[in-house]
Amino acid sequence: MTKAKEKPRLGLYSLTSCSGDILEITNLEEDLLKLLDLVEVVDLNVAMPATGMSPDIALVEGAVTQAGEAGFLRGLRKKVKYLVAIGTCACTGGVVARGPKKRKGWLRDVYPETGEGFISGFPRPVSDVVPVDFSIPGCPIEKGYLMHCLGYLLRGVVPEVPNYPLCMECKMKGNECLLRYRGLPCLGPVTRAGCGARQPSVGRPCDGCFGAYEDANREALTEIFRQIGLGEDEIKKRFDLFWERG
Amino acid sequence: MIYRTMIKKTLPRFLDTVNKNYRLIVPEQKGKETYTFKPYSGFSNVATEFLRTIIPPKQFFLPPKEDLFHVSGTSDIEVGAEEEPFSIIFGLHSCDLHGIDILDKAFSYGGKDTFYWRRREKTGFIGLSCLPDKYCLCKSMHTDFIVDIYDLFLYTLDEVYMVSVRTALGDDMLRLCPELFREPTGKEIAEYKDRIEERESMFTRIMDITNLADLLTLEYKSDVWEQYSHRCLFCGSCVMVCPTCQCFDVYDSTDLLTDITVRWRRWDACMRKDYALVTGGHNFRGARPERFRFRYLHKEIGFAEMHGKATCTGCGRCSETCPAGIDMVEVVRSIRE
Ligand code: SF4
Ligand code: SF4
Ligand code: SF4
Ligand code: SF4
Repeated sequence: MTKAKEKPRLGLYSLTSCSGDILEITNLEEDLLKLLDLVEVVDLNVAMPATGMSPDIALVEGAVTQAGEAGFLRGLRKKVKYLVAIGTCACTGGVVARGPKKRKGWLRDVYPETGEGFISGFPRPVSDVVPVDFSIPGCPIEKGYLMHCLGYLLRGVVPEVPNYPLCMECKMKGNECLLRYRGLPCLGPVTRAGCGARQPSVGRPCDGCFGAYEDANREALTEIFRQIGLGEDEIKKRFDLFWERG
Repeated sequence: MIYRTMIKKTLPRFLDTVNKNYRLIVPEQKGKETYTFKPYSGFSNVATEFLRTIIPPKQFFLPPKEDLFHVSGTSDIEVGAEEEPFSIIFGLHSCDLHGIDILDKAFSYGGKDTFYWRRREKTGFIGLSCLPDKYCLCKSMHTDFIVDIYDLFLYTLDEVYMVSVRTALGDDMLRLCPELFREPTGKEIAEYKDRIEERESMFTRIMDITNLADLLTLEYKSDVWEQYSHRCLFCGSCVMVCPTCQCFDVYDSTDLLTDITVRWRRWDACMRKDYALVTGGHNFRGARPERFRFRYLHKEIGFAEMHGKATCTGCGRCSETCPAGIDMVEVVRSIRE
């Protein structure tokens, strides 16, 4: 592998988010130590002061929401070779980008004391501000999938990702179909694979956090949701949670 | 072929013994209505009255994802897959045995596929009779009985199993506990005949496959394909669960931490948008109706032209599993009308 002095430099940046994706990276545990042998972490803005060194690869989580975040990203883009959006918020805006566009008064309701000085706009995906080389979706990201993608990116190759709906991955795992046998509103048929069917594998329907599969037949699934007894409002909520930008 | 009978109550003893000598795989109940193959963990977990497992036996020879070979550092290429013990799969119905026969042909066409056959050659089969439900189409597909592929086949009668012993391996298994097997009596043979007749009368679903290959070709431009493609989710479930679907994709990946590069092969499905995408960006079947149609064409025509039989075994998995309730019988009927 790469010699110590030539270690590629990695920067991890958290924009507005729950930091769940960076947390998943720290949850790599033993593998994290091995990863740290291979790369040098030059930035981790949630946990350490900046080193001032420019990363080769920047992993960015969170939606662009607060003042200064867009400017920060533009600066970062100029310095790095690969800018990778990690987690659904960075990829599509995520849960925080759902609901009404007009959010006047929300800040004051949520933060009565500090809300005034806090400047926050409608959450946007990273790709709305700067070109993104690659997106690693998931709420949170899947550790194995991240490592798979990093394996390619560190060698300067665009990662191979499963370009098929989650159902295929779910069936490859031998799961019983929740939609078919238990009448649960699973979004698997319209969602990108890559998570290893983590929800259906434990009996919970997919919520679609990996985002829409490019050939998704939303109309057909909507009809099936009606047949299993979901109302129009519930159907809209299912699709809105992650699956499409609000 | 020789025939023996075995008292049904002694099946646990027989399977326990087989399990001591081979790696035994059996069907187990998974959900309320679903079944799955599992390594034997005692007879109390074995399902004997079941029709279809979620994933067919193809998983044992063509795993959903397999390491074909890997390279680590500067080492030579190493072929994947650890040495697996000789396995016996218990509980295969006639349709699934036909499915294996079809895969055997497909993975021998133009030379034997090493990766398929290295596992297939080390597997034996104990078949088990069944009674059809509303999804079973084997009678229509002429796969409702079988005379080859298996090593032993158990036909369920009232008190005994009528055991068909087809191969030397089947005979070896019998010899593990010879005291359990004896010559069938005249009464048992008569009961066996009655059962066959009874079973024949239980098929409620019939799919007319007369000249189906011709009709599918003549109706290539039919509106039917377009209509179904509005309902189909293109989720690929029907392909994943089909005992004869054999398509795979091949790709490489390097494990970051171990520095081992693996060449993988992974199940693929012709329903998938990029399936027929080629270098240069041309997609031979980009449109949904084309992809919906192709699965029927390949099942009923493509393989038949090479091997003289359609690749649907009538197991009913696709119709039972489809979240959109798309049923092959209905599609074929629409084409006939
Ligand atoms: S449980 Fe969900 S993901 Fe799995 S096959 Fe059914 S619809 Fe698809
Ligand atoms: S399982 Fe049904 S919905 Fe899914 S691809 Fe097959 S026919 Fe279409
Ligand atoms: S082409 Fe389609 S129908 Fe034929 S084996 Fe492949 S996946 Fe199955
Ligand atoms: S096409 Fe459907 S019924 Fe025919 S073998 Fe495949 S899964 Fe079974």
